[in-house]
Amino acid sequence: MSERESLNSQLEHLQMRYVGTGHADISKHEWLTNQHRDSLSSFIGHSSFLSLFSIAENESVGRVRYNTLTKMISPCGPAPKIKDNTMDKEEKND
Amino acid sequence: MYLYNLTLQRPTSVYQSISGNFSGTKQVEIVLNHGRSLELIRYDENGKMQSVLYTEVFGIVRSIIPFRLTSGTKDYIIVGSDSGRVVILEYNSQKNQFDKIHQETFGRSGCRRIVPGQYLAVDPKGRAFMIGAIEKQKLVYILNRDSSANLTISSPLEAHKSNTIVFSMCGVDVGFDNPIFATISVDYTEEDSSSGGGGGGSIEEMMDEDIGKKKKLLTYYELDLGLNNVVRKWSDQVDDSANIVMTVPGGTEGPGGVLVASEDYIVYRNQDHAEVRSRIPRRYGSDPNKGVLIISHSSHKQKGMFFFLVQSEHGDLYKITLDYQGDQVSEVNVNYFDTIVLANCLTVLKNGFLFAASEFGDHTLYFFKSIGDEEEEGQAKRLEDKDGHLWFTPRNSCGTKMEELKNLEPTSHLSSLSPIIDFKVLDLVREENPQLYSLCGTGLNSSLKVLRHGLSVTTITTANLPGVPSGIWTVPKSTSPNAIDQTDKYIVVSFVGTTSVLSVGDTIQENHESGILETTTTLLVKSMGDDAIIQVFPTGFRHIKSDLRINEWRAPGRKTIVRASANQSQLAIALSGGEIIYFELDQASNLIEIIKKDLRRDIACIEISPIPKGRNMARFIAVSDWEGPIRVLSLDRDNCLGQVSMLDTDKVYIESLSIIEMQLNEMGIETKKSQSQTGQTTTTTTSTSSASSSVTSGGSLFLFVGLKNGVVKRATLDSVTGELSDIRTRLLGRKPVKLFKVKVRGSNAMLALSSRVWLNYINQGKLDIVPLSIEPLENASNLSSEQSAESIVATSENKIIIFSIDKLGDLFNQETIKLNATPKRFIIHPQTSYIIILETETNYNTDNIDIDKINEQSEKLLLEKQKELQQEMDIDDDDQNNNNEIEPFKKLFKPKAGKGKWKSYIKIMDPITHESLESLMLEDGEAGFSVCTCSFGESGEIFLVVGCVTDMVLNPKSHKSAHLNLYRFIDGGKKLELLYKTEVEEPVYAMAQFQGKLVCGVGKSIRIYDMGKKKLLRKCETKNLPNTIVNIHSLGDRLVVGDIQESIHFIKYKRSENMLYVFADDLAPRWMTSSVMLDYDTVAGADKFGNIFVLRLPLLISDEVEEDPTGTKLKFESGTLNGAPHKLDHIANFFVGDTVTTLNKTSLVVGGPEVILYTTISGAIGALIPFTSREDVDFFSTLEMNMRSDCLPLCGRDHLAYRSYYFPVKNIIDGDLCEQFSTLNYQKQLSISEELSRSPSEVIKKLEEIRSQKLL
Repeated sequence: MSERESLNSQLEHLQMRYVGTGHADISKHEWLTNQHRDSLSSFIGHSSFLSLFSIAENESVGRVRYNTLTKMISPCGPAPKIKDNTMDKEEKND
Repeated sequence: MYLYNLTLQRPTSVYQSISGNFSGTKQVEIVLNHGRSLELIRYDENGKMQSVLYTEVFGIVRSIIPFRLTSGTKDYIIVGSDSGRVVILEYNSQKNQFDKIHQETFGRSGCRRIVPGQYLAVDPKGRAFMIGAIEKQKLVYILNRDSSANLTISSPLEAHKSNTIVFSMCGVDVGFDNPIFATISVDYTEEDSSSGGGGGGSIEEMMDEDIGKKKKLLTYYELDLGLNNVVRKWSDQVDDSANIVMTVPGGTEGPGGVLVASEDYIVYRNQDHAEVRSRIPRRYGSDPNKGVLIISHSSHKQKGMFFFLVQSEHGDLYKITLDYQGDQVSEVNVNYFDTIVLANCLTVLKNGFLFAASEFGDHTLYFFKSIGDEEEEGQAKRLEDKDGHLWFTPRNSCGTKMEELKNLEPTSHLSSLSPIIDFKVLDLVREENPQLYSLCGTGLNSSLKVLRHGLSVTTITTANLPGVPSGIWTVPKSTSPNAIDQTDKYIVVSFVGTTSVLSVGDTIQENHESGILETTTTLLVKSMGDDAIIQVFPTGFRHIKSDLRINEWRAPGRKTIVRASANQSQLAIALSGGEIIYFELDQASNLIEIIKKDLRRDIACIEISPIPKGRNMARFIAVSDWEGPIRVLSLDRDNCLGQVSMLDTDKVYIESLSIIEMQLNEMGIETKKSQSQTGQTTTTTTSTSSASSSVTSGGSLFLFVGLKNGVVKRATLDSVTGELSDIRTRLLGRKPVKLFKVKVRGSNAMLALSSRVWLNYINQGKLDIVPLSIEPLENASNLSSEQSAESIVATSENKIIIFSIDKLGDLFNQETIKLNATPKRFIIHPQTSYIIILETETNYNTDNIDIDKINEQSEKLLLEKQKELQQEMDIDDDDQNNNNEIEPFKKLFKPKAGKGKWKSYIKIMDPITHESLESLMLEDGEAGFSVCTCSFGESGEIFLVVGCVTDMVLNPKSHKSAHLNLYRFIDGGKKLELLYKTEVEEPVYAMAQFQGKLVCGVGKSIRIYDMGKKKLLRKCETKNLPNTIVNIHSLGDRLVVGDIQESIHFIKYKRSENMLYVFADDLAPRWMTSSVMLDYDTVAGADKFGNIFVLRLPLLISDEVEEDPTGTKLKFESGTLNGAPHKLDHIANFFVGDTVTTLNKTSLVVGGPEVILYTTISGAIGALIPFTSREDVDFFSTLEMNMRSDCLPLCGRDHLAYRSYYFPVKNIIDGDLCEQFSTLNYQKQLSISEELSRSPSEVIKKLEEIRSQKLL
């Protein structure tokens, strides 16, 4: 196995193992989705964040947690169909 | 600059609570997860809660769950945290601490997406547990016991599934079959791979559609114990809104399977079983278009029955029961139960109590008055509409008073400050010690809390006396510790020349038949031996036997008795001139003179030590003359009244002495004692709630000395050798300190009376000294009556006061003033000192005022139903009933207003009477976000400016218009009058007065306004700030501005050119919440993630900016690193653990050093204390370093990494960690203190000093 191949397989292994690991051809949407999921899960993990949001929105913490989890499924909407000319849309989303 | 971090008030919000028998006894205990700490709570049969243990874990606790091995009697605690490890804790009641018995590493640290720790589920039979992450990873560990009954843990088994978000997890009760775990999850693979729905429709819409299509699955994972692997056993679709899965008892106790809660439905699910669905009844007044979401749940199981208690987001509790035969469930019954405050976690306790850990505000323990009558409850008051929704009439509204609870009865509260939204330390009432004002709570629970340092007391009675008493004592009915009746018989009050005896009963009456001599001043009254009483007066003493026979002893010659001290069987008196006479009770209960000794100096104080457990006589007596030293004399026969040790007080007059036995649980002391007392058993039971007799065994003796200058000294008295060691000093007040022994929670405690009243007591194994919130007292004694087993009777001038101390363990006592809506900010009027509070609430609960806007649909429904009923029944009486029913509905109609709706008040409050002087409601849809007082120009008149936004929507951010409202104070500052509104483009979140003008942050620009005739006039502006300004401080020509996302910016105002320049900023992005100026060049800030940091402008740049008024303009324009030309030095950083809401620079002790006080959203108050000497810095940093390596945090997080969560910790030493030194065992203490070249007690003393001298 050539060196390049082993590097590739190593990278693949990393991507398999650590969800959210980027790669050279990552699309802006994919990257953003990962960023959002990371942030949202961190909010759920640090309970004080949920309290903070709950005060701001005047909703129950349970509802905010549920909303946050739901948001994780598709934080930035579906991936754009055509990979070019989508910059505006994504930025709006962000 | 070096700072020392100390927590003053622990975090009080509870994110999770669990119950179990953690100490292995029958007692049910509760463990609370405070987010960064764990607390163990016990409660008695009356439902009074008491904190037993509180431990800071130096990590984020995300989940806890109790675990009990098959046929075990003790519960363990499994903890999922941010450490990338799972930890199993056992409560050690001997040492009163959590022992880590297993720690298994599985991933990286931090609250990450795929690192388990968020969810925990146990097999109900106690064979295995599952720990899961939000996404993908799930691990199963098998637990067992080895031959010596220790808990063993297996290596993890993986149950991963990529691309899934887990919503909830629980164990399934399958009896002794292979353990099964259930999860609710969503697979998002398609979401990522699918490319958008082509053209048309906004992204928002597409999102909604897509999520609608997403399948939410209930999955069973089976742990095959034989093959040692985990397989996905069964998976089926559930409602899209499913969010909670609950275990249903199985095996012999129930049908097994799970309940899935989703919006509006509770569904019973099991493999090979049809789903059984039940609607959740809706409360009248709730939004008909929004489903009812269950937010917390708990279950109760006892022989022959089980039920679930769940809470909806409106605060309604529902009781869920199942109708089943064998393992076939026929119906799920969901019935309205009661309404309580929204809870993060409900815990039904085994013995008829319910613990509700509130989202915000106080946590409550309820007693079940009944468990709900389903027939009446469920059927009669429930109505069904066309869509099949069930509606019920709630008894009360969430957050209002609990008077209308039917099935529950609150028994006690754990007070909580959470969330602290705004906070200031001020002395508005002029009390000498500052008060802490904090805005707490949300919605209907909003309040302004005034905190004062000290325990709150409940005054039972007060009465006036004919003169000023010189002493007060109580006499118990029986002296034997085993007597059933432990209450007191008499209260004896001594005046100059007379003594009166009061008998204690239902009422307190004067009594003349006690045998006590009433025509003299009394020096001491004490019960001795077999229910006898000894009364000492200047000319002699009386020994009154239980049958009222009196033996009297007269002082020899013309000498008088000046001081006396006694315990159960010994008496020592001091005569004028310096003679001591020592008496003992003999076998026949007669007092026999043993020895006489002339010290030749007037005696100031005399004190016999208490009798140690298992002995007949005490061995020591402490004596001092006026100027000291204090001598400890032996009472052993071979060296009677011979000196064994002494303590010097540097010629300060001695006021009082007290020797007291206390049950300390500082590990070092215990170990040391057991080493020195070889042969003696040192049982260290710390069951504080058990009978007093067991507690008083094996304590340590302490000698307390109260001095004339208000200082109290404490020394440890060795119970074998009589040596004094470990001397600690503390200033209590301005007046001489008098010491009195009392009882608190069944153990010995001491009242120290100076210009304030202090209580010295054992709190969680440590000796604590706290002030009481009561007027200064002169004499005190313990009082036990039928009404209150533990109260204190005291005198103050010519008054007698009986009071009890409750809420032991609280550092502050609270005064709560209710507010209308979620508070936002408060300020103090600089002249009148009135408190001005801005309250702003979105999506508010519409109050009774809005009753006209009654939810139409509910109304219609109700009318329809009424008609139906009328038709069906056709009876007039029934009609009347229905009319009656309509009224309460109306009262309780409190639908939420919805997103983008706001209500906002400006309130003026008198700080002394707490009377609300003005409550101005802003116009409809207008919301206030910032408030500030400002005086314009030279006039000196103070105006109020409020930054308002109309029709604001939070997400995505939008608003209709934003204004600055200018109000004039009228009627002596009691009322407000709107002068005018000035329109601005963006919401204003921060304002300050600046050189006779108003400076405010309008979105990303800073603007200076002056007052005009019809509106505020824009004078100057800079737009060079990144996002949104959230706080502004002005000092001289400088403005220090915090950006919501980009940390601190320093701005210079050039008066000559009337321009603003940003000249320095921070390198790091920080999401600012609050900041405070420490000096002209230094600012401390806090961010949403929980970091506190200090930034300083380098001296050179500071000088340059100040001295060079013209030349640097060009330089200003060329920024570095896309920012300002200069960068701030980063001089300190620290991670607190939860979102910091406010920072204050203040001094808590009169004349003490200034400290930085911070508050957090979870209700904690902490302080950062600046070090004054290099020596201290070295000492504490070495101690911290050693503690980090020797005292590993409980949840497996590395302390250094934890405090460096987002930025590396710098120059802040963690006092909370250092204070754990006292919980280490003696060997470790010794090795650490050797490195500091001190003794362990010196280290502890130093730790105590820094807390007491600089804080409270």
